[in-house]
Amino acid sequence: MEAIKSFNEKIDGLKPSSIISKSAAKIRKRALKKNRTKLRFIIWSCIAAALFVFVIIAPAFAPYDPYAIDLKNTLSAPSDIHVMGTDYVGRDILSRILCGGYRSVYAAVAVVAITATIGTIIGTLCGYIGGAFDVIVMRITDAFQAFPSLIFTIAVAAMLGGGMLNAIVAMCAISWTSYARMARSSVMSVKERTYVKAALITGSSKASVLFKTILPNSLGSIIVMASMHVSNEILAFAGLSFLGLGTAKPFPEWGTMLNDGQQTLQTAPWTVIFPGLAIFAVVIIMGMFGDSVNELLNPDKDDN
Amino acid sequence: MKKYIIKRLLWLIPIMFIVSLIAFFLMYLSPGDPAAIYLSQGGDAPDAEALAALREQLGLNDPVWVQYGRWVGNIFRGDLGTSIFTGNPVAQEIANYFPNTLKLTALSMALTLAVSIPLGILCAVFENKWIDVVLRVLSFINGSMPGFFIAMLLILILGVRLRWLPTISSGSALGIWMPTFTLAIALSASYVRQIRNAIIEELGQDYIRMERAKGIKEWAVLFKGALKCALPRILTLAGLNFGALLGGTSIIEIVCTYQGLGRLAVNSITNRDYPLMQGYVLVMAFIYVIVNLVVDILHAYVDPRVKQQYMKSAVRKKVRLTDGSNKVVQ
Repeated sequence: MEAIKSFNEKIDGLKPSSIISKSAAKIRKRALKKNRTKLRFIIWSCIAAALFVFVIIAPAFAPYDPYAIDLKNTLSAPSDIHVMGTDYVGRDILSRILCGGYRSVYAAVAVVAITATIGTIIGTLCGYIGGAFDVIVMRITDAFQAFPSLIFTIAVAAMLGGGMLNAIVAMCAISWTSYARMARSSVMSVKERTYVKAALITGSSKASVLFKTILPNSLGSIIVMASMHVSNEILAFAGLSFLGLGTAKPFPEWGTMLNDGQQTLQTAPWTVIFPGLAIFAVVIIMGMFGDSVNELLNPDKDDN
Repeated sequence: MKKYIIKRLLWLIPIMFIVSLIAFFLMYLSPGDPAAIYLSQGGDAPDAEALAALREQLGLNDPVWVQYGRWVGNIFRGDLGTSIFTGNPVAQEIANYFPNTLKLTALSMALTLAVSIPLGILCAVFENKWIDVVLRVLSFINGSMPGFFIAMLLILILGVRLRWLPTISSGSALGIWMPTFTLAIALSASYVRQIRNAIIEELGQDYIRMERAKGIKEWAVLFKGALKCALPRILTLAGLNFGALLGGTSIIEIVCTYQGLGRLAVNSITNRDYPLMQGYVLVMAFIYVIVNLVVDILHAYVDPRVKQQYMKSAVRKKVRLTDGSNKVVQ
């Protein structure tokens, strides 16, 4: 009986009237969802923009000089005087976090901007020109992707001699490959579309078709990838400066602070926890922003 | 299929050639004279005569291409050079540390799968219900934390507060668990999400609807139908990650003071031990490429759909080649 009942229910679900009403509901739901993703995107891009502004003006809110060494007050626990405690030479952790944020955030943004541009140019040329050039460049990206990326980045950063600028160069040296691949594949798929062929047949020059037709139509996936990569690059930069290759030592930077705190982890956990939470908060914000961009531009795909 | 494998194997040659070029020039262009680094290890400035002699002996005065050729030639003889810092052959140094990293990687991968497959199934079955939402939020939070921060928190909680595990991993039987837990936690963030999505995708397929319509029990539909079909994809993902992970555990190894290959590599960079560094980069890139190749081929054997795709793409290529000549636009 149970089976028959459920079968009847299934049959009911297939009646024409219900199909119509269901699809109307579906359309309404889809429209609502579209509005919601738009709203989400607007909210998260506002929050991300606020973050970009905040990390620049944050040093003004620092209660103490981030470089001021106070050897009488080393490793003091969080209190009213030092809200997040002090580190191994008595520097105020809250001040250092506020002053160090812009390095992490803007280094990551710079890496994404540079790699997305270079990768897109290379990938577009590969996809458009094709032939031997494409084969050679794709083998080079294969080789780059075969390297253990962290070790490669560390090696390049060490070769260039550390420091923020060199760290950015080192991170760019390996992460351009994924953009090149993405740009190549999307250019190759757009290239086969009828409207591109129509543009070529009607006599547009190859260059104008590339810049006016192919590129605008293949940029979507690059933008999604770039916006989702910002949080990854923040993590990567934190890792690099954790190893002492991100920023020079006296400058406050979150990864460097975690490195300093590692020595005092057992006696003064706040030297690690607060900078770690700062990285975490920024990565979450940028991650949500990237997700919302992905949902907006890739509505059919599930998040992954 | 055989043709495909041979083609992939042949592609390894140019890739490894480019890898070796990059590895060589990365170190060749690095600042500092290897001979000077070697001689100044005792702390004294090297004297000019000994420096010149050593440069001659190491062949550093030869043109670049001769040096590169000699380096590659030695590699084919199994000689990766001698570590400047320890004086041991690089191959031996890598062989000493590799089992530790392999053990760590395998253990964390196994733990990750053991945790994320059940959680992923749970999420997929209760799609968009509270349990799915909670797990997804947790995995998002987890994925936003730097690995070394997770490691430090674990050291603080499991090592310092609860005293379950040693805070320093080297030289203790339980030591491997601290970096293993860290990696498993860090990895499971994306795994739960991907497994969830893979199973949801399978559950939406026609064959699942068919099985349900036939009245097969829901658990059988899930485990014998959806999971069985999603599993090859999940294991392929794990296999590909395995290759990347072997070269990506350095920071965790450093934080947990685990005697692994990644820690050795980072130390070799800070010590300017170029031969060791070159050897490491080359060996890891080689392993990565091979692991990817093996996983791709295994995937095709396990999943008939993928195998068919290879066949199809081969057929399609042939078609395109024959009608490519009369294309209007090239």
